[in-house]
Amino acid sequence: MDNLKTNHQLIHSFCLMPGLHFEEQEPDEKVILAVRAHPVSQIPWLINSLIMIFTLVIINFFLPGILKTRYIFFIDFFLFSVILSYFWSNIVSWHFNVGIITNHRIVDIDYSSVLYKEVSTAMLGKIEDVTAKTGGFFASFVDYGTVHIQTAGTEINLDFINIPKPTETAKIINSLVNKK
Amino acid sequence: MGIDELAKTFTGGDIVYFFVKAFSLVFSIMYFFYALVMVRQIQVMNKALSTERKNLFSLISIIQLLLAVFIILLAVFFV
Repeated sequence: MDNLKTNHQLIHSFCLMPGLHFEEQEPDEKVILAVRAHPVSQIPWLINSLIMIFTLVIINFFLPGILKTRYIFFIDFFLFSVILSYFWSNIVSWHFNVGIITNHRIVDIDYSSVLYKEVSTAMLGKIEDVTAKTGGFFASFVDYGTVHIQTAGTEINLDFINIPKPTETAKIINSLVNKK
Repeated sequence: MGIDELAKTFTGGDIVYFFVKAFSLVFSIMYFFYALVMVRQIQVMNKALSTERKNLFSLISIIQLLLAVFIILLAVFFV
């Protein structure tokens, strides 16, 4: 683990030695791996955005017969801003939904729908089992899946969902756990 | 007072104008509050997770807020 170099792969969804910092990080704590959802798993909302833009263009063929030009301009401008906001909020959710593996612990930061924040932590010494799951043709083809981290006793279990290279991630966690 | 008379009071008789104006004001204000929450939330997120792109995220959220202000101005003076 000590000879790892900084390496960002798949649009920053799999970052070795990423050089990021999180709120509860201790002074001697080193971030080894940061994982986000695989870019391929973000395709549905990208398609939604394109459909919304396409619908807006179609609506514009019918509006001139109903409304004045300045109303149409405002409606277009407003709806386009809303679509951009939808796009932006999804990027923010993706960027801040991150799994962090340090030399002390594993941290799972979840931001669902931007307004909800949850930070779960498991110390490496408390980890009992790490499972990497890949299911389906698409996930197997581009190599993404879920890593389930089971902890001892009443400690919370962690899930990194749709992350790239789940087997490699599980291997890194296991090697850190074995060192402890 | 009926809705037609109320509309006439504000718009001088154009019912379409009344509805477009009312909806544009309401939705632009809602959009402004959404943008405001996004700015605040991104500040909190940047504190919880600090990356080299944190300034870019703050900048884009502020641009969104300015866009929301511009939309309110459009709703008030242009529509």
